[in-house]
Amino acid sequence: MKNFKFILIPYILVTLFFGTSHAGDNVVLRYEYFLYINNINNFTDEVRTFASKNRGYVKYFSRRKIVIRVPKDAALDLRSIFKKKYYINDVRIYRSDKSELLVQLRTRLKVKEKLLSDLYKLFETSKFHQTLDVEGEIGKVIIEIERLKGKISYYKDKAELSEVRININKRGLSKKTDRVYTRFKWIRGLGIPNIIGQFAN
Amino acid sequence: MKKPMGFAQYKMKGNLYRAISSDGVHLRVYRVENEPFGDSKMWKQSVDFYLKGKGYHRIKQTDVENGNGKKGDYSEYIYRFNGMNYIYSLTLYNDDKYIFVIETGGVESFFNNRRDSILKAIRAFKIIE
Repeated sequence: MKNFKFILIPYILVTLFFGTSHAGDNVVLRYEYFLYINNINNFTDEVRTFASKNRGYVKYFSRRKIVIRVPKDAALDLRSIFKKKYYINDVRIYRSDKSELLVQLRTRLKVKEKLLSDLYKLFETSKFHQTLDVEGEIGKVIIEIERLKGKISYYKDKAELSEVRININKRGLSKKTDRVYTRFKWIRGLGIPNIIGQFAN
Repeated sequence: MKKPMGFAQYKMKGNLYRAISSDGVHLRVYRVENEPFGDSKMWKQSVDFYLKGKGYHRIKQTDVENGNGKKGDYSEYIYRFNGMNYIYSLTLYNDDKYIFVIETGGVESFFNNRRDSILKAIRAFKIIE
């Protein structure tokens, strides 16, 4: 029993380690920032350069919005850069674990590949009048296999590269602040963003 | 307004007084017309209602007296900005004609270090007719 414990504990630790790191690989992360930017052109160039330097790419950009896709580590580095250099009005992080979905897809793929190999064997031994039917079935299974491979690649790609959406000089998503109004202009000028913004001019 | 210890003063812009400390605590003093006329209680409630709606959480409220012996209201709020906690303080003194507004704001840890010198300056604030 003691020997069994010594075998079991390292096994559990190794499984946990590889299990968790594998699960982390299948998490899709998306960041959404709302930033105050004075010089939009410089900022856009900086973000585009950052994306290309970190093996990412720019998915979309306009004067008010930039969307880039970068590896997960780079997305975290970008967050530190924004915190140091710019005023962050709001930030949202969306997280979606695709592990279960990928396991299902991979299982279905294995089943289909097994079916395909069985169909090929059947094709070799089938009579002439059956070959067309078998060939038809083979075609359907191949299409299904390619579809499953495509879905697996799609989710793997989503998980490998995080999407970062940067909204420039737009308010955050908090609906509560949108409803507050006062008719007194000087009261509307109160608050941290206004006091810091006035000093920046 | 006498600037708090450790602050640098900007050039005056009209009746707007501004100062800033080395760790980024901002101070701003100005006056607005008391129009439509309201008493201190009314303005305090209006400001509080607005700031709470904007996500400011009041953490402190006290009466203060300025250099002329005029009573005012000093409130501190905590606010999440730029991924950090900021403290924002607002002091209001008002009379029949004007409302005198003294605002300060900075990162929580830096503001806490400057609080005493800020309060000293607010209490020393004098209204010259």
